[in-house]
Amino acid sequence: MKKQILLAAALALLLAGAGQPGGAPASPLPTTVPGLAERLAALNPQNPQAYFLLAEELAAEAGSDRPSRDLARSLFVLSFELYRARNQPGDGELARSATLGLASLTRIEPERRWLAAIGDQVAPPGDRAGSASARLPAAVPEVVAFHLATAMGLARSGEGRRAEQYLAREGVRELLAANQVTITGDPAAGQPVLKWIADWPACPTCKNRRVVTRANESELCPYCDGNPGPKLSDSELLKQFRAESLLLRGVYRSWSAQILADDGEPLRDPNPADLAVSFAVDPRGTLWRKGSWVAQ
Amino acid sequence: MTPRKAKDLIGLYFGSEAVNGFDPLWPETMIGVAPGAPRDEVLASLRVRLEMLALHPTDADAHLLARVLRSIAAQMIDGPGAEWTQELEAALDPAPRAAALRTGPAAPVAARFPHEPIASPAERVFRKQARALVASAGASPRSIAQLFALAEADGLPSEVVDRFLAELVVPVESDAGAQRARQGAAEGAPRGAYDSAPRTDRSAQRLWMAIGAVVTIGVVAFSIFAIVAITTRQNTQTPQAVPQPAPTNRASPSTAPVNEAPTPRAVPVAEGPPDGRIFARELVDALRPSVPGPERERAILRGIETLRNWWPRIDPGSRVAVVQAIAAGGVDLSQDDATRESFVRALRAKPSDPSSPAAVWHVTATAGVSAVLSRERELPAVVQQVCREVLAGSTGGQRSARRSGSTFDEAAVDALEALPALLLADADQPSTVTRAQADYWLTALRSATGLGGSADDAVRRNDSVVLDTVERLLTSTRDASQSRAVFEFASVLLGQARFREGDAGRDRVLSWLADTRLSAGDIHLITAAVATRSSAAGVEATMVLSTGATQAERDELRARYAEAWSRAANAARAGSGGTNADWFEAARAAVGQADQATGDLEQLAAASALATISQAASLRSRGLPAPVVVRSEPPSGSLFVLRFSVAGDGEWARRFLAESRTASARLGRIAEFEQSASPGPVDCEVLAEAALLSTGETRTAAQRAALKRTDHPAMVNAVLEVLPRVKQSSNSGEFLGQFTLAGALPVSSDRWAVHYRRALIERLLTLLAASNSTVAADRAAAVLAESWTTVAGAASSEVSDVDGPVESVSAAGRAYAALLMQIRQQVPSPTALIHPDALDRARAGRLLVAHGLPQAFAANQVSAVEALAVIVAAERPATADQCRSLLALLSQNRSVARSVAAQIRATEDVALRLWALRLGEPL
Repeated sequence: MKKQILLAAALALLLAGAGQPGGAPASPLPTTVPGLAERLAALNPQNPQAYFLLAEELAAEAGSDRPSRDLARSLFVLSFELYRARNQPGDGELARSATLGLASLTRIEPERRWLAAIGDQVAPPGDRAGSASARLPAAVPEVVAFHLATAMGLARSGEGRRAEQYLAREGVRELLAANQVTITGDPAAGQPVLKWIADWPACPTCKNRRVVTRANESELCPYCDGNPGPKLSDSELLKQFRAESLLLRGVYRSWSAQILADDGEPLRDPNPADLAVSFAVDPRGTLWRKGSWVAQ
Repeated sequence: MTPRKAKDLIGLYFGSEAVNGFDPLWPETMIGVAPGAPRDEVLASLRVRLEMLALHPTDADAHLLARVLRSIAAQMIDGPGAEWTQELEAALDPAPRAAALRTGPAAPVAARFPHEPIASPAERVFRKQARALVASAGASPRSIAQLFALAEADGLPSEVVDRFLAELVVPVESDAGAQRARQGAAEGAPRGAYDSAPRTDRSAQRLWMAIGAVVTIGVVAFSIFAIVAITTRQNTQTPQAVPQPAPTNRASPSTAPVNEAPTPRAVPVAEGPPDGRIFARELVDALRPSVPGPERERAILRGIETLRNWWPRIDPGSRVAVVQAIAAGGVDLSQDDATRESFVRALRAKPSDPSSPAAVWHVTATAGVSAVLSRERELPAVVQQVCREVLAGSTGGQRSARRSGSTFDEAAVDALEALPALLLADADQPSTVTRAQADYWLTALRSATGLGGSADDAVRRNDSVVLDTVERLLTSTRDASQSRAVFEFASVLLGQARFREGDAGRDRVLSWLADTRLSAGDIHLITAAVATRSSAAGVEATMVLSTGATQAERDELRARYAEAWSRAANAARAGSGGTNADWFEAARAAVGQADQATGDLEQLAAASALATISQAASLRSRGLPAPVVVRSEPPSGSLFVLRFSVAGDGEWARRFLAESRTASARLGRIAEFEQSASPGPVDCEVLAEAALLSTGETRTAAQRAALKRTDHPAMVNAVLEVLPRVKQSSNSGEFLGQFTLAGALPVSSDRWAVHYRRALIERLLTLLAASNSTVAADRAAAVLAESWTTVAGAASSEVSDVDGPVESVSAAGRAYAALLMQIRQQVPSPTALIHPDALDRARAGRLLVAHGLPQAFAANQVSAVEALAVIVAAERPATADQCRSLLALLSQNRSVARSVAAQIRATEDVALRLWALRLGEPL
């Protein structure tokens, strides 16, 4: 995910909430945790642990519930900032735990690495060197990533039915949803892969045989021109290849190939000061009042 | 054997040329080969050396050397711990050139200078046990004694132990091990013994200590060993030969029972500096298990006392042996309540006059022995505690982070740093006493830091300790320099430090001048010493701060020092008006052009241009000539070329699918495909289906045709599209492995499909990065690699485009490491622009996040630039604010950069500006 997109989104959210002290108006509260409203109201910045524990509970119960995950993220970020501000013995390790909590809520590998690296930055000396990343389980099992890459390839080549079989495997659809921006490069785009699958279960004319024979005369299939599947532009095709490369974690010995594969993704410094902005959380807004975060 | 002994014997038996080729860091050079030499070369060289030794059949040293050489050769050939075998002995066929050395009838060298094979199973078992013992407990006198006891218990003669000890050298890695070590070093793994960097002084020291301890202790044992009776040996050797054994009552080797040990001599307390080797030998003799307990106790106590009185005057090798003997003996004494008490008393004993010069050596020796003793696993807890107390007392609880403090020398240096506060308690003691204290102190320091590296390295280590000690002394109390004793002591020490360009002294003085912990009186002391006692260039006698100076006067003096040293250092590089005018002109032009770069290729080209100018600056800052040659590959084309569609695509596919019913027809079509210039995606997909989904000759022919198009994006994409339908088989795996050059996986592997899909995607994207763009981007990487290699301090050689992407990452990493080391050595942490630990932490975080080579390079690159900023600010304190601003600008530009190429360019821009500051003025 491009850093620019993140920062732009963060800025938009912050500006949208500028009229209210401390932060943006919250979405309707999720219902995955009982008594959530009361617990939020009881949060006190003197006690960062309460933020962290509530975040953990929300993250554990969230599943695919978007509001729960968003709220869990906000709580993790706030606990991180509060621990750092308090800076008592042991707070560095606790702040790192918050970054691990955030990492558990994303499947995007570069994001997870960045969060793990931030965790290492705030960890106590002598306990670093990638130890947070060592604690991080794999974002996505390799086999799930492979199944999605295969499904994407089959969708491109007009084998929608076969692609459906791969999508039906565990975790594949969720991963596809999580990687939409990566696949399309556009957060506002729909889900092209699903559309291709729907449009191209197989060529209706040649059934993907490429050639049709009429009266002993063979010709390329007039429907698909002998090349079943959606007709993609060069840039669409390149995005597909990039997405597969990221899913399969391809490594390139050529600078130009790597830049092509990841669109020259800039190196994102793991600066703890960037965490809150990245998640569009105002660290001043630590009190939950009337459905939103406000400053003290 | 110690390095000195080895060198002496090599010179004695093989001549001066062999001595020149001998490197104590590499035992292999004793045979006359380089580390990792092949078997044949090892045997050939060994053969020659053995033939030369065979000319001295009655020399015990020759036999010892022959055993050592055979042992080294065996381990080079067969791996660590390997023994010389009959097979290897048989491989020592007579070499033609050896004929020139023969003085007797022509015969294989083995016949004339035989190796005694180990025939006895009992001895084999013993050797196995002995190796395990030495591996766990080290080659200490106590373990040596245990070996003799073990042999006796097994009914083996003592020469079995002698043979074992003589062959006990540090294991030598095999070729495979060396290869792994080199690979590991390239990948950033901890360095092995055979990496390209030389072994550290400390590792070499440990290496030889192990051998030194064995043979020093084994001198007595060795003296009984001989193939031909020792008694016929002529007294013709040089004084450096094996010292004459102590008078002994032992009978011939084969009949002398082990318990008839030589009568130990009492170890007297030396009244003058003792001969180190004699002292060590006598002490070891006196501590043998067969010696009665009270005598051993007396020997240790006297040994400790002699060590305290004279340790800086005892050669390092002997000192090691003495300290280890004391430590081993101390462990023994500690097992018994009565003797433990006397030993502890001895450890705790303080100098009779704490302010006497001799107290310096006393206290530091005690600290050193305690440090070595505390590593003994069998030391009782109560004695461990005493050791800890002694060490804590000797350092006042403060130790330098640069030293582990676990060796005698390091503990002694730690104690030296803390000692002046104790020594100089009497502020009014006579000057003669203070000067004597300083002399003893400096003598001890030189002795403790003199081992390892060049003479310059030793002096550098000295300077570091002197500066730290003076700082500690002056900051121990407010206005410490008011004490005449402190003033004199610190002045003597400072007079010994160096203040040349690149020395730590200059930076330290500048930081002291700004250090609020130091009073005007303290600065008066420092500047007086530097101006009048040292040979610091550029410093006039008037550059001494008065004791009543104001802060403004102090700041002014600091500026004068900085100016004087900058002027002295940078006379040849006096900014844009001096001999660097060409550099500044090129730099300004390059920066202007780089600002106009937009696309990724342009950014990389601009970055490489800036880097070549920085490369010249790096050389010039070291006083080396460096013309400014701007190198960059002009970008061409775009980074992405995807031309799948081809006119007429599909016609071949139609004919193949619809009109080729027979195998021969299909083979004909495939032959047509092979002739086509640039098949389109449809044709390629049909061929890929034939290659992976058909059978028989059709499949074979289709695979052959496909393998001719591995560099054709449409063909690669076609195989990718067919892949989900391919069954895992050895045939398809073999084809895919060849097609992708990614190697084959076993058919049963559950990663089979992932592996090939990834390989196909990688190949496809690599091909799609069109060839001309590939050259441009990778050429930029190669130029960056060359530039950063120079910054790292290494000689830069041309880097190929193929190697550029990988080499750039490691070159920037090496540059960072070199700059960080310079910071740790020369820039006091409290005054550094960025603390070195923070630099390291930031770099580690970036490397964790980085994915792919460009990002990995960017991580190392920006870290190196941050380190450069720290150095520039330290060297030129007046530029500190500018350095800070540049780093802030760098952070800002990198955070908004849309691509890694833009980040790389922005970082090179700041690097260039820092080099400009270092050369004298901003861009």
